[in-house]
Formats: sequence, C-alpha cells, structure tokens
Amino acid sequence: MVDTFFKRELERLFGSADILIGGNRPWDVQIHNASVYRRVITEGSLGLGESYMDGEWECDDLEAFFFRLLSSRVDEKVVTMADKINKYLGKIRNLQCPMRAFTVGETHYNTGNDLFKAMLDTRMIYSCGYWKETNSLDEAQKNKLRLVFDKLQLQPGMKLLDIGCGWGGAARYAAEHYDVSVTALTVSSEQAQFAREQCAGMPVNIELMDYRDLHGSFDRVYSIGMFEHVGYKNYRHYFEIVNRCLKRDGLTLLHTIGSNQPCTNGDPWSCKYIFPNSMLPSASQISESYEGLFMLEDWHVFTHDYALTLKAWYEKFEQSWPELQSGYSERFHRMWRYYLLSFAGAFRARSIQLWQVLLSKQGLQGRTAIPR
Amino acid sequence: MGSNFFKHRLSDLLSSAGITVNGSAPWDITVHDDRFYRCVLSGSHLGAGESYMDGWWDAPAFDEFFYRTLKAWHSNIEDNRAALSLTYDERFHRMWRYYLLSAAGSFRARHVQLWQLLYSKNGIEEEFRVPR
Repeated sequence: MVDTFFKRELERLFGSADILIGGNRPWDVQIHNASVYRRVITEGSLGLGESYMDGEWECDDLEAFFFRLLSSRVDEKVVTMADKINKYLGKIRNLQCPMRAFTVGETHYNTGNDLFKAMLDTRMIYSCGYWKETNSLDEAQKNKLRLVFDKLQLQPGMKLLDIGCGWGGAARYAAEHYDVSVTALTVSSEQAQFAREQCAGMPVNIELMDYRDLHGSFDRVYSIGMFEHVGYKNYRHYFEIVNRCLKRDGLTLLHTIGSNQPCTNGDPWSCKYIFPNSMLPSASQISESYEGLFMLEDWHVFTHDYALTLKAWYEKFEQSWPELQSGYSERFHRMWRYYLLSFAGAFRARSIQLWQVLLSKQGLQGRTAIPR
Repeated sequence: MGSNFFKHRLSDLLSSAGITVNGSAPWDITVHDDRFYRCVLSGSHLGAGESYMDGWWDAPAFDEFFYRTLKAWHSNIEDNRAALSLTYDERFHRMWRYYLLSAAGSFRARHVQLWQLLYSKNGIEEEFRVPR
C-alpha cells in the first residue's frame, strides 16, 4: 500500500520532467530494486544518489537525466524531513568553523592524485575552464588562467595570494608567464606536496594553511573554486581577511560556483560523498558580504562552460578507469560518475551557476575594459 | 553653393540692421566686387576688413555702418537671453551645472557606479557570450 504510494509519487515527479521509468530514451531510468521509490521520496537527493551508487537504478545518459530533472525544478518539490533537519543544522552550527577546515582537504582533495591526474588537464586545474574559441580541455584551462590574470591586471614584480591553490597549477602559470611571486594556500596535504614539486625553483610559496590564519600584504588576491567551502556564516569574514591582506590599490578575483537562491546548507548527497561542509553562495550572499569593503568591477557568468568542463573530465575519467580500478571500488566508480554527470546536468540546466567576480578596494580609475 | 546664395544671405542680414546694399543712405554700402559677399560670410570681421582693403566695397559713413551692424547683433543676443531667462533663471543655470559636474565627479571617484545587468527567466541554455 505504502510502496504503491512511493512508486506513484516517483512516477509523477519524474513524469513532470518527461523522464519515464522503464522508458527507452537515453534519459529514461531502469529501476532494478523497488526500494528506490521509497528511498528517493523519503530521502530526496541523498536517496537518489545512494541508490544509484548501490546499483539499484540505471540511466544511459545521467547528464541528460539531471538536465531534465533540474530544468523542470522537480528537485524543489521533494523536500524531505532530512532536508529540513539539514537546513536547521546549517543554521545553528558553523559547519565551516576552523576546526573543520581541513575535513574537505582530507577527504575529497586527498582522494588520490592518480585519479585527478587521469581526469584533469595537464596543469591539473580542478575548476571550470573557459571554452571560448576552443574544444580542448588543456586550452580551456589555459584560457581560464589567462582570463583571471588579465582581469587582475598583473604587473611584473607583484605579490599574489592564491586562496585554495589546488595542485598549484594557477600559481605556477602566474609565476611562469607574468613575472610575479605567489603565496598559495591549500588545506589538502596531498595537494600541498604535489604543488610544491610542481612549483620547485619558482617564486611560489605553497602553505598548508586555513585562509583565516593568513597574514601579509599582497597586490592581488584570487581564489578559484574555494569559496564553495567557506560557508555562509563566514562569507563576511572571508572578505574582511582579503581586505586586510590586500594593498590599497589592490584587486581581488573570486571564481566560484553560485546558487540561484540564498542557502544555508549544501546538497545532502554532495556534502556526504564529495564536498563535506560545502555550500553554494547566492549573488546576494556574495554582494552583501563585500559591500563596504570592496567595489564591484565586474561580474562574469559562464555557467555553460562548467557543463563542458565536467563532460570533458567525465570522458577522461571513464577512459582511465581500467587503469584506476584496482585502487577503487565499483561503488566509488558509480559515485564519481554520478558526481560528474549530476553537476554537468545541473550547470546545463542553469540550476547552479559559475561566476567570476572582480573587486577593487578603491575603484579602478578611468575607462576599463575587462577582458572576456 | 552659387555666389547668388551669399549675395542674398548677406543682403538680408544687412537689411535687418537697416543697411541697403548699393542704397543711397550715408550708412549704406556700395559693393564693387561680388566676391565680397562670400568673403564676409566665411571670414566674418576679418573677411570684411580684407575685402575692404582689396577695394571690393565702400561705405560713405563707415562709423554709422558699423554702429548699426553691432547694434543689431546686440539686440539679437538680448532678445534671445530674454527668451531663455523666461524659462530658466540663473539659479537654475547654477543648479544644472552643479548637477552635471557633481554627478561626473562622483562617477570618476567611483562614489557611485554604473551597471548593466542582463537577466533571463530560466537561464540561457548552451553557449552564450554576452556582447561587450
């Protein structure tokens, strides 16, 4: 009786996104275990992801499935009790307090350098590329780095701060091509070690450090794909720290995934399996956090480019799976596929966004043409 | 433009000041060379002087001729000033100047900003590069 209710409910939800259970179009789903109905209806995003990882349902084109699901905004209709508790916890606790700062580094970013090496471009840039006039992942990542540093108007001899440097690819590119020195922070020990090797002999100083412990004075500060881990309670503090570390005529660039609405917690499945304690900022959450500290110079949206980046990562990941699989379980394989393709579909459906925000302390003088 | 145009235009202007070309009054002028008209209209005071030096025109009562010409200019200006001040007073003039220049200074000092925001209802799908 109850099971029939769950089945009908899921069929109705998927149906409103034109997804058929048992259909034969690429985005239709095949259900192998009847518990899927209950898990999705009662646990929402977490139930959908976990039941996929457990092999309880299949879909030929997961990216298209998520594109349809999120374009129809079905996700907004499934609000489970767990979601409500999660929202409440996000409000009463600071999930991104300094004590937890290294959790995401120790889990996600320490997953294994072999996996990221196989999946990412040659520079190992783990963020959205810029696909203007290119079809190659390597080029798209190089374009993105040029875009960031040209927006920042780098001059030889400048001191840069990189908050969330990943494997050091951006810091290295800046030092190699712009004749600048870089202090680069990460909370992942694996990333720090790799980045230090990458940048050996260059004016790049890699620090295993939380941004909140930072002191110093810099000409330029940039952060590519780190703000997603900051947490809404710390957004203001983040900008205060950047403001403190930035010289009077300084510029700062924030490259982040964005949310269409303000939120106080992340997606439950992504938080549990991919990015612990993470959440996406909305435009108002970002702007209210920098107002009074910085002036807006430019707000660039290139969301579709992240869908392209994720698809490129996914293809490389699946191609390399035969060599990788000895170190990972099949459940991990399914989890990773689900992660890459659900995000790709979400970006394509514009359910989440990709932003680059350029801020100045004093305001750029004269006519400025921000690169595109 | 034909030389007739310059001849008619200048003759009209002079007649509004009570001066007749080749007239008989002491303040009227006598034109000896038609190049005079174009020369005055394109060269103004300088053209008038140079064409006089070249002997293209004469005026028996030179002082009276100039008095009448300048008086006509002055009354034209006064008439227009009166017309403008009916709508806008000096306080408005200062206010408008203050408005334009304080706004210009505020923008240059980045005290206020200028933004263009482009929105869509459901998100633009596929690749879209916003023109700059």
